[in-house]
Amino acid sequence: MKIRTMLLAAAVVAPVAAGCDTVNAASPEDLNDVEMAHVAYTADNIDIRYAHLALAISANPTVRDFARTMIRDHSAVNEQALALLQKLGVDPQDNFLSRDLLAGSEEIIDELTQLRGDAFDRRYAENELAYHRAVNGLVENAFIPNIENAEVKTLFEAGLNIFKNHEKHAEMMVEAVQ
Amino acid sequence: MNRLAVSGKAATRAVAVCIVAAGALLTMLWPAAPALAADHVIEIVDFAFVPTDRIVRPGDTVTWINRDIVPHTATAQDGLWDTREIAGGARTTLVVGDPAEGGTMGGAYYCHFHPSMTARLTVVPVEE
Repeated sequence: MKIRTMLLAAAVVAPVAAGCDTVNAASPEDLNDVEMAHVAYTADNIDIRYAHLALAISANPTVRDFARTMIRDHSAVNEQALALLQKLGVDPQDNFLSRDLLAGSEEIIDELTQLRGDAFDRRYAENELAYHRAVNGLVENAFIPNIENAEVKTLFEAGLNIFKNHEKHAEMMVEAVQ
Repeated sequence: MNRLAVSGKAATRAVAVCIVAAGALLTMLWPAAPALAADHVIEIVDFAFVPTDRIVRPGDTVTWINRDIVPHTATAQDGLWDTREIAGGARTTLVVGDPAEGGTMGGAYYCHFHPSMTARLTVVPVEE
């Protein structure tokens, strides 16, 4: 789980390492608009899965409220994203980063499903904070500066604002479940 | 002619007295007309209530318009009133009740879905 988070963080910061030889077609900022849209859609759905798991396992009202908000907000963003892609006449395009995110989420779900009570709540809260931090960094530093379509860019900026609020909310949840 | 003229002045004075008296009577008998209720609009933009603080009076309406993609609420911190969910692009209106008659709307409020979003309604008496 931590490895996956670190992989994602590495993908985000790799391009910043000036002169390094890691910048290639497999770098996040080299993805095209529809590939970035696929990553964002995948990231939304992953967090929705985590939230459903939390609602199935946790009895903590703070955790359950947060999970419901994640389902509500990420579903709303995905709905907007799909509407925009439909309007533009394009489909989201699968890519290495979407697959990496999905693989990482499977490990986290395996871990979370084995936890109960306070242990689950703490782990869910910590992961939500780490996940939002990582994805927000990706969107802010690698995606938004490189998106070509103005409407797609506007939607990503709106999404980033939402997910930064989630990050703050996750910080509050982490403190609440300690 | 002169007399008529005097009578005309007296009649004018009488009419004026009647008007003043009628006005005074109306003032005594007719309750003060209530101040017109105001319609307040609070927009929810980028996870913030705009404006953050609003002064309202009993009888006023407050409309929250959600300009964000995601749903929000305006929920009293003390739990006494709640717009419930306002979908992205939607609006909800509540009427401010009189605190003297059990009206509860006012005070600090927040978004139940996003607790870092906070604002305040201050209820003051209706001006007479």
